[in-house]
Amino acid sequence: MQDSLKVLRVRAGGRDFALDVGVVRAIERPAHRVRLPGAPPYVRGVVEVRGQAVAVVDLAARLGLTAQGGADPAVVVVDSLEPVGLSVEALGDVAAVAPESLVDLGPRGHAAGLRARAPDGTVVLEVEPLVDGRPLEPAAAVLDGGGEREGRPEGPDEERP
Amino acid sequence: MSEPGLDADDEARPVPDGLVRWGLRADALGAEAARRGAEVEDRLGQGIRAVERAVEAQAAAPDALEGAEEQARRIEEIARETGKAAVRSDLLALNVQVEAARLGEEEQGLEKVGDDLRRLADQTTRGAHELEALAAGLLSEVEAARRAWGQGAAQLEAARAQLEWALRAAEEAGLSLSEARGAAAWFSAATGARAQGAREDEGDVEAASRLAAAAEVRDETINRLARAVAGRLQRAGEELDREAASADGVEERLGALERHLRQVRELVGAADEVARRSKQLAVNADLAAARATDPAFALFAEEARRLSEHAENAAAQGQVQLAQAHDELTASRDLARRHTEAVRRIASETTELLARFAEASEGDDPIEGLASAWRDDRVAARQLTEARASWRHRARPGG
Repeated sequence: MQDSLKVLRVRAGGRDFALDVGVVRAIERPAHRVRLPGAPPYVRGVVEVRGQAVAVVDLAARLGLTAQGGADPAVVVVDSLEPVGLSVEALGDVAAVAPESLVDLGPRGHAAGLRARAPDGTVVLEVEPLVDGRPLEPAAAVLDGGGEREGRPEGPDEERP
Repeated sequence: MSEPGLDADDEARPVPDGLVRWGLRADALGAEAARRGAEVEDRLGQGIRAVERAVEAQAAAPDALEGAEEQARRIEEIARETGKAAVRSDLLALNVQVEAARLGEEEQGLEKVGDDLRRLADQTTRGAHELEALAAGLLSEVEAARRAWGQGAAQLEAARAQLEWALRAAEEAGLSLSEARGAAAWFSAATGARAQGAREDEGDVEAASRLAAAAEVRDETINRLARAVAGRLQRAGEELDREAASADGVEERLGALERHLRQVRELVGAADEVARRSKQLAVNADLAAARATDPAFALFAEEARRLSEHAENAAAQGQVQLAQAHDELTASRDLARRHTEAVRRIASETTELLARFAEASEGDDPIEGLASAWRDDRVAARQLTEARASWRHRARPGG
């Protein structure tokens, strides 16, 4: 039996996702956010985290999902070449998932930033494609088995309250 | 009235039957009516002073309620701040959990700190929400008590106005009675003197006629004033009864407030326990940070300590505010109880006064008796006038 995968559960676009805690650097609720003119629409601006400027990506917009708004929004700072913040609608908890229980979502999923689906339906995200700025496949098509497309990744910016 | 002069041509004539008797009766009844009138005035004056004291007590009550309201607002503020601190605790706990998960087996102590901190943050959040809801309930109860009290104040003012009006009417009636008494005394003296053989002249007859006419006017005036006093007393009694019911409502509201406050106290007691556990947790976080190699843990431990201090301060402040709110409410409740008792006493005295007044206005009471004596006087005066005319007719040559 392999070591369990520890994930941080979050909510975006009204759906449950999980991030490998290995890439999570911090979780914050920044009081101020500075807009970035000319940035892609899913980039919500820059925040300060522990003295460092971090660009914030709206996770729902990046995945091409419709933002639902949340009572408990937060920014999960993930490690990449540069730290990047993922804005989520709500935070869940840290959970252990057995790697053998995950269903890989294949190349199509990977192209949408989705790695695998856990038995409870939570989708483990692939962080690098989410933050490297390249175009993504719409996540809804993969998540709903090619069903209704909710929006285009990197589509028009939708202002959140 | 001038003393009747003696006329050599006049001859002594008998005083009509009953005139002396009526004169004496009018005098006695006038005295009794004046005494009763003074008594009514005195009692009305006492009633007004009692209502004024009740109004003063009423005016002091909202101050006490304002104190309770202020404390409830502070409790609400503490609950909000505690809620914010709980959100920060939750975030901290999640960060500690993520950090512990990243490090795996080697940081199990830290993982436990993270789990404990998260549970505590959940508990604090629930407690803060509950406390906020209770404080909001407390505020709305204070507002309801204040409204009930305000309603009572209006009723007391109305009762005071009615009693003052009744007093003015009674004073007017008293003036009228005292004039009537003077007239009755003169009438009694005049008829008594004639019974002793004094001679009568034209002036006596005219005066008797005037007295009879005045008696009719006074009779009507006194009856009207008596009805007005009774009506006003009745209304004052009704207002006071309503105020007593309002005061009961205020007392009930304050009772509800006290029950509410007990719930808040239980919750703040729980916050005390949370603060104690936060402190323990901060110590554990310190230990875990000391063992850990990553300097970020020291930051977590420091934040945990800050949060625990915050929880401790909030709980301590909550206790102080609660103690003050309890004192304010107890004072309000005592005041409301005394006020209700005073209003009930005034209402009962007013009802008693009304009963006495009603009793005095019926049957053989001085006012009615005096009026009746005056009615009889009119008959006697007519008899006197007729006797005088008859005497003149007889005295005239060839009459």
